[in-house]
Amino acid sequence: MTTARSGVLLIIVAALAAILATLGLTFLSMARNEGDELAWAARYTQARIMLHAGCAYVQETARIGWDRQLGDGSNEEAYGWVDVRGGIRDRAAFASRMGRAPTAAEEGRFPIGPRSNQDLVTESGASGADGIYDAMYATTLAVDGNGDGIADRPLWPAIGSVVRCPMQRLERPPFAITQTVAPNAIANDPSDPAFGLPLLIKPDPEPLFGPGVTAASTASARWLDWSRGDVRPRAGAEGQAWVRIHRDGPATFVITCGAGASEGFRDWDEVRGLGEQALFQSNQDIFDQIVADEIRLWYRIEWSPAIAGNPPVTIDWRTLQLNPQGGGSADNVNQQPWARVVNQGGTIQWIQRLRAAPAVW
Amino acid sequence: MRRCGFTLIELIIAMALGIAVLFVATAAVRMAMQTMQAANRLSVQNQVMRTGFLLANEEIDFWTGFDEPVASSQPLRGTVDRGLGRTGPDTTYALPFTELTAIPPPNELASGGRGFAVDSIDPLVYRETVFRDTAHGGSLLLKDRQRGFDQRPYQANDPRRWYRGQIMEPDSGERKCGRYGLVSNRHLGPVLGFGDDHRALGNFSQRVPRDGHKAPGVQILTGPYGPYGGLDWDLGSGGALKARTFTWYENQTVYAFEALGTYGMFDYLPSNHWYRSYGGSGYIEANGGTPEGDYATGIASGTIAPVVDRYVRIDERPDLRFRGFITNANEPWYVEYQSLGRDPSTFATSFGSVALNDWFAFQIGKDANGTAYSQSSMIWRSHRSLAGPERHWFEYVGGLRETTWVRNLLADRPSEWPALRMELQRGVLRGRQFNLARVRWTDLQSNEEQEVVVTSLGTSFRGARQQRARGGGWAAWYAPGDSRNSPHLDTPP
Repeated sequence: MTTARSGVLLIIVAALAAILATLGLTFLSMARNEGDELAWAARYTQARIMLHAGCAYVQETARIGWDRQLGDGSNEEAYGWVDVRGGIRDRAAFASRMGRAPTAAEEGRFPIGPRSNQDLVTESGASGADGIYDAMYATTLAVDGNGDGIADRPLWPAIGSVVRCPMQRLERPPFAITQTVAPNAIANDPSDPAFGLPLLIKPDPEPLFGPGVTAASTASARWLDWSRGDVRPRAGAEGQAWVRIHRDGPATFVITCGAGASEGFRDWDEVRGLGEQALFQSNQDIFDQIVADEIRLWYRIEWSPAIAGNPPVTIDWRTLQLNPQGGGSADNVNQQPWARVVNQGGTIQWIQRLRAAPAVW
Repeated sequence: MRRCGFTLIELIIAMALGIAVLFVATAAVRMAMQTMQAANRLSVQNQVMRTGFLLANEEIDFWTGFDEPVASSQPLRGTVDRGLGRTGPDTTYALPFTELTAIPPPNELASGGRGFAVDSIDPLVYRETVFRDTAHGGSLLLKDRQRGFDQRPYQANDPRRWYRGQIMEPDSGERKCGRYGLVSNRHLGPVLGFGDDHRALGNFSQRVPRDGHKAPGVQILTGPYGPYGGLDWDLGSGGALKARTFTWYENQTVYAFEALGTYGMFDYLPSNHWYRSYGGSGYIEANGGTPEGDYATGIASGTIAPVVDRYVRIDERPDLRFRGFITNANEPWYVEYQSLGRDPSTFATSFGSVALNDWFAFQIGKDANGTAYSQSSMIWRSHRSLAGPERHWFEYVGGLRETTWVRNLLADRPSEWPALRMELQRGVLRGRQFNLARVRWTDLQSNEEQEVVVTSLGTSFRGARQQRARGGGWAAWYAPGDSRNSPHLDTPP
């Protein structure tokens, strides 16, 4: 073959290869672009899911019906973010009218009464505080949120405080259970001494222990292991999403929903104020880039003490068919389509998406 | 001799190889082009899907389909006639995005309000929140009973919000649901409750006060809800028993409904509120049923008005009753004792005022073709009649379709993009608010309709009102008490 022919053939082959390469690169570029946009949509979805997480956090920390354990082994009775104990009656007016102080029962108070940090003022202007410290109403500034070296907000959960909740899968959550469906399966081997006996030997569900904890371990060791779990994040699960909650009133909260790796820090000043620079290699540029890549949504909600539970049904939104669960009730006993279930978390009264970041969050 | 050119065999082989190369190359290019086209279509469809997904979520959060704050498309503002066939106070509903200041006030100030009851509650016991009336130069402080609906929930430590039932009681009567006649009573008379209420409540009426003492000349408040001495703070100074009228809750509930309909009542009333009130000047059965008492007389004379709908009655008998389960078809009065909660799990605990299986939805009126808006039918209403407990779920589905809001998206899309349509349904079902958005487009490859269903948690109705500034536009929010916060639709005057 002559050189000229070889050259022509080379040109043809090169041109074809170039066309294919161009098409291929274009395709890859489009795929990459699609992937980026899809990743954005996934982050947006992840951020919206954080609203559920934030609302659930507010409900689960509402302490309806329970509170800290008292020294005598009992627990305080509690009424949620908005504690009803306080300021409902005017002691001074009562005393003036009745010639005596009201009893606690007459006031409608429970024994621990209104809280020392609860800034309640009765109609006569008297404070209802009783000297009992309550973190839910603490006013002591203890957190430097802007890195200026001066504490400017109280500890969570006091009004004005903030809690950050980076969300990631844990190695083993506290109180995890195994996936064993039937831990007490009835033996079906006739030679088994327990053949056919419905023994309830094991707990149902079964607790999931960490390595090193065996049946021979002490009960306290097993309890500690189970209750503490292994809260280390699983590899690859970090930096996906977070929710940050600011309590801006007795029962109102700003929930910031984030999808990204900033762990819910508002800005670098806050990172410095909290001394967490090491999380970002002490490099503000890294943090700022993370924030730039993040999606952040702000919502404001109000919690209410309505003890609503979950309806015992699911709704198939495709068909709008209501699917009862558990035979129509949570306890499988009452077959009516309602459950006498009362939750311990209260209700989210309303939700408002904020169009921009509020001044404090 | 040196040979020039090719032999025939060489030429044939070369041509065959060339054709094969060209064929393969052409096929490769064609496949690549087809792949590119398919990829382009998929890319467009993915973009359409993502756009629809984003717009659906943004719509769920900002409600602009129902009310556009910065444009003239505000069909859900103003008032509509309630179709009572008369004019005057209490004859209109406010549409859902009407500013609080523009919601017609109750008739309380003008004529003493519905019925004749006024609060006689002891202000030392039950604190009334004062409310400055700017219509009177800001000098007149109105009390609860005078101002009607207040969008601000009372604090949980206000006794008027408390649940007063006993959930562990075995029956479904007052003991379980709460004796709200004690704290929600419009009746000035001494007897509360009569008639068929006795049958379900086990004749509490003949019981004497708990201290067993009947002072001469003192009214004994009896009736199915028992004596009222327990609440009387004068017991310590002579044992006098007085009738107490408590109108706050009844005002709040009824006026909330009158102002913003069922959805407003669901979203605004205090969470721990009860659903009944007592008293009033007549038995009201606004829609069907058997007129009783002085309903007809009251309507004719104009002294009473059908205030809510057929499930709500105002009477001496326990009321604001919302339909619930009929546990015994032969004893229909049981219905009223099934106090239905905001959530079915609180069934029989008197939380909330929305019936268990009832549902309601936002509706923007449509004409007979179901397509165009019609001012006259922009009624903000419930659809409880469509999906009662004895009805089948498909009635709910039909009603939901009736209230579906449809919007064509991406009007300025590129020509190669498919049409994108969103259908949005908002409502309350089984005590839960839901947002259901369907995003639909036509598949460019198969020409079939594709759909993505979005059911996000998002801004509630009340949140949407708070997003909108009074006077138009979006309301700015900075922090509680911040002077830069914009007054919004719910900001009181």
